[in-house]
Amino acid sequence: MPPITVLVADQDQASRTRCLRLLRPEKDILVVGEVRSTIEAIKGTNTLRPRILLLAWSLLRDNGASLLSLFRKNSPKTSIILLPDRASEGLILDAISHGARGYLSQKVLPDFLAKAVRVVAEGEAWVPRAMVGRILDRLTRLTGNVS
Amino acid sequence: MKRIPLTSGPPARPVVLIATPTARLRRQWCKALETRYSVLTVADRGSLERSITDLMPAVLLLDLALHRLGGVEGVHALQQLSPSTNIVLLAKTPNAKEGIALLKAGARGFCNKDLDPAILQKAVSRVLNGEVWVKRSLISPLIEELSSLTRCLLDGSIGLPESPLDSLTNREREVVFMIGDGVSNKEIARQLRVTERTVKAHLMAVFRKLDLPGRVRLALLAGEYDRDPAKAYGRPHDGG
Repeated sequence: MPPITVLVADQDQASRTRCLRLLRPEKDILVVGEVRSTIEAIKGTNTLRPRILLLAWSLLRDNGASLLSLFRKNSPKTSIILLPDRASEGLILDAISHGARGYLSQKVLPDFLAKAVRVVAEGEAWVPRAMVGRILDRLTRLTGNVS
Repeated sequence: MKRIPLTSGPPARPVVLIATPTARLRRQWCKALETRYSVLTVADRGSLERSITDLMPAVLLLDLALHRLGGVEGVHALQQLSPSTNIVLLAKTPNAKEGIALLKAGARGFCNKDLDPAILQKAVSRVLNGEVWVKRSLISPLIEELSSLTRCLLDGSIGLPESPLDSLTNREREVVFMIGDGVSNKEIARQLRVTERTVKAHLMAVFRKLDLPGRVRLALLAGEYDRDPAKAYGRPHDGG
């Protein structure tokens, strides 16, 4: 089976290095590149077509919704996992609403990065359990308004 | 209705009602939970309807195999009988589509009947804490539904939602956000320079308007709304 390809996008050198170090021992995961800006992340995703884009929250900044839809349009097979930051749960929920497939909190990153990459590559999602209620509440509210 | 003797303990222990036609499961779930909760069991629909009305349990563990339960409508009807009850559904083979429909109808949990006692304890305590407990495999379809719905809203192919907080006055909203930050009534009163009683009155009004069961759910709701509109991106009613 071909390895799961990963592109790491983060401004912060230490954070990128940490991801690389955590993923290097995993035989089924291959980091195909690392970038440090939003524009490089767009270019990198277009040319490398990674299965997974590990994207730092800071790179989404103010254009989150449009960026996430751009990634989806350019490379529909790439799934996005957000890397931890000080973002509020509400904003992470926004990003998930707009197509991000996973989020890792700072606390669980070292233990679960590889697992999250595998799970999301298989088409599943990876979010902290505590967020499920939020997802459901928002879903119910949106649906309630539609019907 | 068979009553399981309640072990001694403070009366404030949350009541958990177990409803399943299978005796083995009644014993199993009861055993897992009776040390921490006041547990009662029922085996049929009639006793369930009576007990949920009488007891208004904090949690109802409901076996979907219960005779004449009637799927989504049935669960919804039970919720109407006791709006404050958190309903956790247990199925033999949890099906994602059915699960999502039931959760949207108000259920707060959906899992396998044969779950580990330790997981059952965790599920009940999380649900009491205002969270939702579902099988991991259900999380992904939930997210998918949310993102496709959001896309439709942005396309304009369906109507735009309103924030439930829109119905509140500015002062009420202020109180809600402070609750979201975990501030106590006393502290809210101090910061807003009003009496604690006024804060409580605001809260009562909020609970009535939003039809929420308690403080935790309110806090979760508050956390979802960013106070500074410039910071929130892509919320459907911002982007149009």
